[in-house]
Amino acid sequence: MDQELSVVLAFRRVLERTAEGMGVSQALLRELGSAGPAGNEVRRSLLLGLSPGAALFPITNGYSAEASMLASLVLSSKASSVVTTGKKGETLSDLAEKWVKARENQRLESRVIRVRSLLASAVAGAVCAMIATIGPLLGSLSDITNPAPAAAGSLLYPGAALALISSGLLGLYTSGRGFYLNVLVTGIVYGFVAFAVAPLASFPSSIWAIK
Amino acid sequence: MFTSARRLEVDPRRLITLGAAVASLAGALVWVVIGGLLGAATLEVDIVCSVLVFYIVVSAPRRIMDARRVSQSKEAVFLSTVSAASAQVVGSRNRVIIMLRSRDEEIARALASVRRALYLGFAPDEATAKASSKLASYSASNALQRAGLPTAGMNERGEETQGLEASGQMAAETKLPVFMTAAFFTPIMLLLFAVFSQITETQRLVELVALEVIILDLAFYVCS
Repeated sequence: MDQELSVVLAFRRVLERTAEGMGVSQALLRELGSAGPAGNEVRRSLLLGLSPGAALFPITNGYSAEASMLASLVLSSKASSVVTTGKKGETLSDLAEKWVKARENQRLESRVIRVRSLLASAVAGAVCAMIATIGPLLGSLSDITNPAPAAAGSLLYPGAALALISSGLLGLYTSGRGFYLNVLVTGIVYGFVAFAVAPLASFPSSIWAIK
Repeated sequence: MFTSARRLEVDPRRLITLGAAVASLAGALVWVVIGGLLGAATLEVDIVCSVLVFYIVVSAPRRIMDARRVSQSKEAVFLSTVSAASAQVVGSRNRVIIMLRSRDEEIARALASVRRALYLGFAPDEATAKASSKLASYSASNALQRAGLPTAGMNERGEETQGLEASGQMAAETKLPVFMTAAFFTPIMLLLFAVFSQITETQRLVELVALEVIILDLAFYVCS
């Protein structure tokens, strides 16, 4: 199970226990055992004699927003009633669970989007390499009666720059810091296609002057 | 149209002036950077870039408020739950409001302002009404207005968060293909332009790369 979700579910059980009348520390000790390293850290602090506020500090400050919210709710009960807070916290714990699950789904979707962007970067790299390599030759066909001398490879570096910039920005948009993967994929595909298509570009241009 | 700007205490006229100034500057920069690369089409490209920059600047407050709304709407559920739980036990509305704390910066600021008003002797309704009007999320605003009432937690069931998440997902589904198309076709189209216009001079090729950076940057910010 996802670490974040297990912490949220553990806090949900803590609220249920407190609603039944159990003390906060006892409920935390009993229920956070299944919440992974974060839960074990809280239990360890409680067993060493720290207050629930101090023990839950790593979760209320810096852990996920939902877990932090539920931990703050558990702590807020000391100013009111533990039982009432436990009962009222049911809606919040339900919602927190939904939000964590929704975020997990978004994470899965973003992986698919990332793969799509890598594919788009690879295809863009291949197409750009083809145009940059045989482009000058094709450009000379625009005026078939008076073909301009094709400067093979003249667009190779600008083409690479165009492809790498676009894939870098696409990577930045879809995966943030992982943009370098898009740049890498485009660079490799670009180099490979340019190398493979290069013999076509060295075809004698005088052949195009045949009427 | 300028509700977000007003909520951020930004004068709409100043925002428009700033947008126009930045757009003009961007237009001039684009003109200088791409030079005469596109021939007669340079003016149209320049105008489009300026309009997009103007939109990005003017819509900045709305985007800031949208980002704040998500976190505030989640915090609203927490706030109303704590408030309802405390109200049943404590019994005093003022005391419950004074006890409330939030991890969201804007809500924490609003709560601090409510506490100050309560200490100064204002009625809870009056104190909360003024502070809640500055919040981006209507759930958070409602939670603050009903803070300390035993029925505070009855209305907040995360509907706003659900709506915001759904709309955010739809926006992402729309914007992603747009940006992907732009990022995929821009280098190809520019390369084809270079091929068929027989652009081989280094200066022109650098201008071509600069044009791509401008187009994709604008697309990035518009789609973000």
